[in-house]
Amino acid sequence: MSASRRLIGILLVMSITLAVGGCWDRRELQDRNFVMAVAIDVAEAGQKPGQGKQEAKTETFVQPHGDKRYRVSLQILKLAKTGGDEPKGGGGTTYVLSNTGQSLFEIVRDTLGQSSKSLYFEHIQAIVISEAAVRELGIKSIIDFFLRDAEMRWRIKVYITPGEARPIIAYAPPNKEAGGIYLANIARNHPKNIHVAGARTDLGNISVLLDNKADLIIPRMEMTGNVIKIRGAALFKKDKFAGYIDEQAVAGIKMIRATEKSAIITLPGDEDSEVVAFELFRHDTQLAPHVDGDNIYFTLDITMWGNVGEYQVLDRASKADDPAFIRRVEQKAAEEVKRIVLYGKDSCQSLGVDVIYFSRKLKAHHPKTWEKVKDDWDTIYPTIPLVVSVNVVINQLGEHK
Amino acid sequence: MTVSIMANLEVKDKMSVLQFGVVMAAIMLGAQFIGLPTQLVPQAGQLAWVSVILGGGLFFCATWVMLKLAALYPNSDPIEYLPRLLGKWLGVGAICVLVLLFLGVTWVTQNQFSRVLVFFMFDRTPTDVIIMSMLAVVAYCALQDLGTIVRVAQFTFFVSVAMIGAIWSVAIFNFQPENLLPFWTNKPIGVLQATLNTWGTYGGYEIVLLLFPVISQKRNNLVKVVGIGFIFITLISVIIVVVTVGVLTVETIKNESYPTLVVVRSVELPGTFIERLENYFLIAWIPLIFNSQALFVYMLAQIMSRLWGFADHRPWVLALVPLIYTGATLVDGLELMVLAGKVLTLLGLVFSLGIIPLVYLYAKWKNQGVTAGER
Amino acid sequence: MDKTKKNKPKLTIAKLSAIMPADELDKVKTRLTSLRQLIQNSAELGEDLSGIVADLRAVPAPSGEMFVFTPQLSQNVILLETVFRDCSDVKFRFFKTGGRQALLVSLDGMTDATALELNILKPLMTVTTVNSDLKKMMEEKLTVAALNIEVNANSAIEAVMSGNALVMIDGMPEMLAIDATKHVKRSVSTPVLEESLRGPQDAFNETLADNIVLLRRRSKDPNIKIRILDVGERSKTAIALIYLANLVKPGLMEEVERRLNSISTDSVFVSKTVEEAIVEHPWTPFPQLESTERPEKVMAAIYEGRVGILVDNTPASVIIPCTYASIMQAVDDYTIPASVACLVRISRHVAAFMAIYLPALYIAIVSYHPGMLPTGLAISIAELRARTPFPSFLEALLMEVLLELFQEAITRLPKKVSSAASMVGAFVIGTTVVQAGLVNPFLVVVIATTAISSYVMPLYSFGLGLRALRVPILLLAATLGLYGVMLGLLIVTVHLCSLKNFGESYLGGMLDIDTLADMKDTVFRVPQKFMKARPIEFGAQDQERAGDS
Repeated sequence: MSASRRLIGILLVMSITLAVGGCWDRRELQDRNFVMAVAIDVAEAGQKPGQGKQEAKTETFVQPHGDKRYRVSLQILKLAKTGGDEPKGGGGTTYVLSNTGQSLFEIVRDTLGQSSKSLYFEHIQAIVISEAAVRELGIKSIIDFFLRDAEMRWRIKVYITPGEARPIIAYAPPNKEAGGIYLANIARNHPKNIHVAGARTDLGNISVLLDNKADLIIPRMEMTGNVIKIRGAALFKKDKFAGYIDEQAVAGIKMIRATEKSAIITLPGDEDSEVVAFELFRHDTQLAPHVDGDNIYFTLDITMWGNVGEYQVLDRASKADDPAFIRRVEQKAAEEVKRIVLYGKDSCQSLGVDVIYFSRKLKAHHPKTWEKVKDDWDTIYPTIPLVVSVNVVINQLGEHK
Repeated sequence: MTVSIMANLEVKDKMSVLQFGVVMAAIMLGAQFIGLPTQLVPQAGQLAWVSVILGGGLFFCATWVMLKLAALYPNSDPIEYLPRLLGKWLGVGAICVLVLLFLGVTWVTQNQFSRVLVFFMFDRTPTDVIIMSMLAVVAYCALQDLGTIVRVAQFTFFVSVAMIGAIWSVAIFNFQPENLLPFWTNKPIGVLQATLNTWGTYGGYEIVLLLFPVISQKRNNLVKVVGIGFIFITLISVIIVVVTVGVLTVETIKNESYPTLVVVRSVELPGTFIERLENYFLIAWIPLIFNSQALFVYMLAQIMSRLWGFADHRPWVLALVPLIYTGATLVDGLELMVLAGKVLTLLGLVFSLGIIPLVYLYAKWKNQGVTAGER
Repeated sequence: MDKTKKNKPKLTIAKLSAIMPADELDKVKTRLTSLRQLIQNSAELGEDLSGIVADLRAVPAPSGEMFVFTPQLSQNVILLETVFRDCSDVKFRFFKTGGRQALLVSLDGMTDATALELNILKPLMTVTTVNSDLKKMMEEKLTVAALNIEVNANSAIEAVMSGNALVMIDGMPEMLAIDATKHVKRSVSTPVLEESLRGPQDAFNETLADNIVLLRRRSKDPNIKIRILDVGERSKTAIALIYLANLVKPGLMEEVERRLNSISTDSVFVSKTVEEAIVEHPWTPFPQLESTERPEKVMAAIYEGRVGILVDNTPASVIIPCTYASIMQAVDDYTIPASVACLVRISRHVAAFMAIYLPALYIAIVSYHPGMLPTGLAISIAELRARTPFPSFLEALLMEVLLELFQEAITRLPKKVSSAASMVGAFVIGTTVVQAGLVNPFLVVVIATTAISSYVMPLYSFGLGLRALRVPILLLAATLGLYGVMLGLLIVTVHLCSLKNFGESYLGGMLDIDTLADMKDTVFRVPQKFMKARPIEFGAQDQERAGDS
């Protein structure tokens, strides 16, 4: 046979093998069940309304190793068949499947027994973990599955909730969004809401922090009745749950970490029952470590520029463009910021959790000192002082003076 | 004024100096840069970029020695003059080291590439299929003549580098420069060790020996062009390492399997059409792999065909394809991959830093080559 | 009564054949047939005899010629009549000139009768004496603009068949071939395929002479050489090669001519036959020679160092060599402002990419990697697809088939019916298929965009080539997802770079670092001020556009 014929023959054989093999991964888009959110509880957490003990038993499976530790609930999207022509049914666009076990991967795969299509995690938006689940054994064992699987995204939002997690993902938001998207997008408002710690708290950052053996801060989500809100945060020491802090502490931490983009700082006005709101637009924050012999202390220099957002003044002939008034407001705002910052720092130090970057800055700028003190860090950290100096500049007063 | 470009009507089997620069950059920018942080950071820590720069300098010197060696024999290629210079068995032995090197690189690259692709983009597709289909396309390209290959290499090189550059630049959103501090380390030996490990990134410059006779006669600024090529690759590697360490930290890199892809994955652009950037990154990476693989296979086929006295390299391309496929599927398993990587680095270093300078010095001492004719 | 009765012979009633056996009806019939046969045989014999007589009479002709003309007119007449047997449109006009017999042979309808009458017949008929010097007579008496003297038979016959007139005078062995061609032809009209908004509106027509005139008018450069060859052993179609002698790439002209001369076919009617015979890669779907019906495009190409080929009876010219970049240049790019032209060009390149890959990308992303879609879009596509029964690959294939059928149907229908057909197509493909639940609307958008992108190509055959590649890439995407699409991209790139006609790589010149300067006219279109040098890849001898030629 001539050389070119042989060549063609070989190439044909190779191409036939490709066609015969088939396409392994072709799975149509509508044949996948989109998982939008995951909730993790302890296995003995409360039941679904209207669900008896028998149903809980059917949900779960016979497990070879370990005990029933976690309950994993998956929020799955319902595809509206009519393409949105008719109004969607009143039950919302998602439904929840649950299962209990220990290995999350095993639980998820077993949940396929309840699902008609394969579960598809690539669009997952949020993970809600209940405090009870995390208190026993820490967070690392829960999220390990999410870190290893290739389908997960780096930017899944993680929340801690003091109550039960499953009702949160069973909640149908009133604007008919899919629940997971709604939960994740709440945290996306964090640049404007200084009470929500949203910067660098998603799954990827948690993984990075855990690898570096640093401490974590995770936003806290609460649900009561029909109201869901993110307020405050949960602090973790390495991967053990340490405690909650409230919104003001979160504000202070954000200011130290310089992750706020816009914030409202309320100050008392000149008289009682008057309130001035200062709206921050731009800030310049420097956190610097200083080592003085054996003393370690940090300095925080903040310069803030912003507007007067609201001036609730009683019926007086006082206007906001009085320069003396403006100066008073600036000073009061500076003091208020200082107070908030110190409050945040104290909350962290009292729990012994370093989420305010002290160890990180020390490691970066004074590595030799870090080598000396890193073994005693747990004892040294709560005593480190922070010297705060704040400067506030008011640029504008808004449309109405 | 007569035109000074290559005469056009015949099959183009010569290339100009600039084209050679691009081809060399294309073959060096192969698969290895995805695994670059994984190799360097465990040893060098956050100073991995220093190792990259040092590695670039080191291998540029090796290439410079190769250029001088090749300039001693301007019109013949190493298959011819190495046996002449060193005696038949030693010369063929040196060439065999090169052949083993190239072959090993294709094995390791194909295996790594298919595993990454299956893990990130597919689910159940077997890696053999990916290797087979890539080898089919590589064989189709290597069967063409040199002019076509040079043009294909340039086209895919420019397009993929533009795409990868665009995708990589969005990683700036997560970049935290503090992760790169401190600037000192208590293990400077690690940096030097990592320098030797960068051979994987720069591997491929050995083709300068083989392609030297084909480059057109204006060879004066060849050193400059080769230097620019090295600077380009060094720049890309430094950017990759710096951004990876900046986005993830040193510890995370040690714990991740594919940190470069995780960096791209960590970018979120809400409100745009683009999600799952690592898929785009991988898609832009495929032509680079194809480029360097096609060039390696072509070089291998040329060497083998000249060793055995064939006139054409094409039958050897077809003979090499099953060999590469078998090797790539056998180098499976995590330990075997690490071992293969180490062996290849060792071979590469021995060849570039050991064999070639010795040969060059020997040739100079024996006064062979072009300088001999000047007497 | 008795006498008649006595003299009456005895009446016998019998058959004629019994009485006159030699006149039997059967025998008469056989004799009639044999008579007919004899007549036929004798006619054939007569023909053969006349042929033999002609052969015997003919002086041995040089090989390759039919015969040699003799000074005797009667012999020549017989020879010519043999050649032109049964060609009733060849007119023989006998006349006398200066006492001698003369003959005018011409093809009815291909010659200008008035010119012949005024310029040939009249002066020749009124001349009184004729000497044997044809040349002198030609110079003094005949008032025709173009004529030459023919000696050998083949060229004389060919001259008559091309529409020239032949004059033979008794006693002279040479004859005159007079160029007075005038026949029906289409006048110069506007271009059909390559319309432009502001460019010139004259296009090639089928007559070679007119096309050459259209080219010559555009440049008064005597260095533009036009060489005319004959291709096709029997049809002897005229082909003109046009090039610029001091600018063309060295070696190109000779190569083209060599390939044209090696075409061994007997008839050439369309230029496609010539094109296919001189390319090296007959099976590729991409056009390898640019074909245009605009003269200014041909002239621009010639001034870049390329060669143009005009084939008689085809209203298009072929330009050699062509690359992807030159195919993507349309005339309108040069008539609109430069910055807008850059955008248009870039969108054309993007459209070429989309025309091949968009359906494949759709299948790959929807079936294999839905994670790449934003969540909202993924949900809405999933909802749309929940209604349709087919997997995405079959859907796309179905739409492709419908689209191809539709496109073929539109080209075949006459103009009046095609508007009705397009309405049917719009309804069927667009609306009804979606409402019937067969195909989801997103796919219809994708396919429509693909179809429109393939119409953007300036050269229609290039758009056809892109269409041909769509389905194989679709198959690759359906097997291996986005990886398959990338492999398809690489295969197409390697194939395009390996297409080398007359030395130039099809795609390779686009991003080759040596020809990066060419990007000023391929990817962008920079203003005229900056286009000082010719494209490097065509290898013209003089790279500067200004300065001495």
